[in-house]
Amino acid sequence: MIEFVLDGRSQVATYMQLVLQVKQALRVGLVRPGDQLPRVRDVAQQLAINPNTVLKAYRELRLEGLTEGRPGGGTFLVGTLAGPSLGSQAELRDELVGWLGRARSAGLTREDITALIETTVRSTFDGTEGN
Amino acid sequence: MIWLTWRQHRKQLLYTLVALAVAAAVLVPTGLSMHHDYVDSGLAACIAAAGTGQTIGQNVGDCGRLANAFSQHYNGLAFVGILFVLFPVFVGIFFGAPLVAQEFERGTHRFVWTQGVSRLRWAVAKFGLIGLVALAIGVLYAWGVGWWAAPLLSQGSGRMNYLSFDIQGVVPVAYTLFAVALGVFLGVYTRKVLPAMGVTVAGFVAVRAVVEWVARKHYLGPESIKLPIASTDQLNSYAGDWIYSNSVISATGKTLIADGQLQCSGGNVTSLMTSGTGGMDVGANPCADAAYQGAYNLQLYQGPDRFWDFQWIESGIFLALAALLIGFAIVRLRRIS
Amino acid sequence: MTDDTALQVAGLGKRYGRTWALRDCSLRLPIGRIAALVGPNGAGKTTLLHLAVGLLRPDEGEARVFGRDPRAGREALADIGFVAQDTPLYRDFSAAELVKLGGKLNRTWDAALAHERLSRLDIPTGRAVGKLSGGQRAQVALALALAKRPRLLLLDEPIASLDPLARHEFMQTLMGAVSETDTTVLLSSHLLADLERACDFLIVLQKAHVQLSGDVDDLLARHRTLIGPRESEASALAGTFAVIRASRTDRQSTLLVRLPGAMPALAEGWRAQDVNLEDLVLAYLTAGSEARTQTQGELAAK
Repeated sequence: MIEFVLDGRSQVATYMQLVLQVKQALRVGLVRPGDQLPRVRDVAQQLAINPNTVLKAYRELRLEGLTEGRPGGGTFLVGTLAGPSLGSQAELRDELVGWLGRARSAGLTREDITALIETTVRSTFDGTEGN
Repeated sequence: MIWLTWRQHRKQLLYTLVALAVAAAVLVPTGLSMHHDYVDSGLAACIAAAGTGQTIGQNVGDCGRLANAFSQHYNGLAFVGILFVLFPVFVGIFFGAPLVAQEFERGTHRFVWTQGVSRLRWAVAKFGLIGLVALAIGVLYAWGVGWWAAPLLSQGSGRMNYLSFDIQGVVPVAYTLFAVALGVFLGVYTRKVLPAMGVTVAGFVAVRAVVEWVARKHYLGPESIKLPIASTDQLNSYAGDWIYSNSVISATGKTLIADGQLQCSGGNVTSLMTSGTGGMDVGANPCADAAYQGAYNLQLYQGPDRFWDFQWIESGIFLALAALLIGFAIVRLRRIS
Repeated sequence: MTDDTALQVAGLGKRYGRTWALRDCSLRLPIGRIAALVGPNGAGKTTLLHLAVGLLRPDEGEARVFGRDPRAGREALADIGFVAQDTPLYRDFSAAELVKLGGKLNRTWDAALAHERLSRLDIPTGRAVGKLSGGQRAQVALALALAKRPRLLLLDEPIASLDPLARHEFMQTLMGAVSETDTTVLLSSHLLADLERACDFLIVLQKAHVQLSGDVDDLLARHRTLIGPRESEASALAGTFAVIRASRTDRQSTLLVRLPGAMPALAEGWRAQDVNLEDLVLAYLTAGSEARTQTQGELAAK
């Protein structure tokens, strides 16, 4: 079973950290469809966080089709993140590596590149944030 | 609530019982020895013979000598007897003052007042139980000390006198309840244990002093007895009277001696006691003085038959004060915010 | 008064002598929330909690818990669990005796639950609580408050005096317990960091007044930090934003603002950053200490 860990310095919302951890665990195969997620109470107690935050994360996962509630109680993983995205990820990564090389030869430092990516990501995703 | 009060104060109660046991260990042997001596020396019989009449004939045995010997022998214990006057105030400062003040000091009132018991019920249960304990202690103390001190008090100045009166009968119980109520009341108002204790002592002493020396003699109007200076009888000093005054009054009603007694026989003084003539000149031989013809000794006093009247009146006063203080304390507790 | 309200206070004021410890205090805490009551020492947190549990009588306004005056009687009190500051307990009582005592003082009392919690935490129930560690004593106080099965749990600085490990353990127990019930929680602290992950509702008190109260997500969504050139500050704001706190250098302005509704377009050279809870609290506390004339930050109930 997955054990959640929080990053105290992260700016990412707590519920989103939980969501991302489940997704990451799915990606790397730490958990599989059919596995049960820990009970809300146990997560809330272990991490000393608001149970509503855990509920929110589990709701998010259910909305994304990754989990479902079962009549006997408990939340179970049903979806998987491996699959269509894996192939295209490799391709996108190659493109990014190429782009990074061009940026470097154009004289941008590491910080410049990070700032550029961040602002671009922000402006691109601004309309969809918080949903 | 009963369990809580018992659990909170059981140690205190235990210590009190130990203290009482220690006191008993001292009082029982000394008391028995006093009682035996009192009978064996013949003092008991002498005083019994003197009776409680206001006058006695001239030749009733010499109780004075026996009494002197007795009181000299037990002088130290008589002093201990006076110390017992302070006993109620100890109950007041150890049971009364910390009762509520300690809850405030430790903040536990915030715990207990937010449970499912109203403050009124909490206060009534707590005060009621501590009151009962104080009552039991007071009764035990009054009965024990009353027995112990009886020989000391039956001779000398009498049971009605200052301080002697205070360690007999029911008044010690009333004093004890009053002291506890005063402690509780001050604990509620000061919310601090030590100040409550200190003011309890001061307040107790002040109220007791005022009642003792100002109020008590007015409970009932004094009785009086007139004894002609030519009489061969004497005023009975073993009757247990509380004597307000002795004076010598002329046949025409004029005060001849403001504070004293005079006895004459055949134109000569057989006995003259004055303490401070108040500027009055008694003269060389008052018995031969024309102004003293038909004069009499006047004694104003409270007779020993009034002992219990005085006890109940005084107890009533202190119990009423105690009830008043507890009432104020409860009102205050319900309003505290 | 709606049915989903755990605690409602309206125009609440409490005075000690001439000083108001709390004034014009109005807020509504919905059922099921875990609310953080934050503010510096002396801001009125304890006063507010004591008013809510009926230890104090208001001088103005009223406090209602599930629609009832907490001073009205023991029925209203039965719904409220309270842990006072420094967790005052009868120090010579053992935890087991305190549980027994609670059973005698309350109509609803789950002694078994209290014992289970204490044994899960390995707290010796036979030893006088005065001899336990601060963390253990706080846990005993919490277990006692929970044994009442309260619908509203009020905690006054429960972890302020504890070491970091004990703080974490206390919050763990609290969050675990709250998950099992639908208890509404209001806990005060002068340190937000302790509560940031635990609370979903925020009340900021400063100088006897409520500076801000509302749902945490809602509050975060309605505030931004705007950063831009100082010379265009006036035109960029143009009356659209309420500025809570501003800091300026000779070139740059950094403004924490409340949004009028949806995020409007920004002027040239300006960018907006999300705020976190700490920024938000800090901004309102600073604003509150600078001037009381600032408009109240309370947001309309959703």
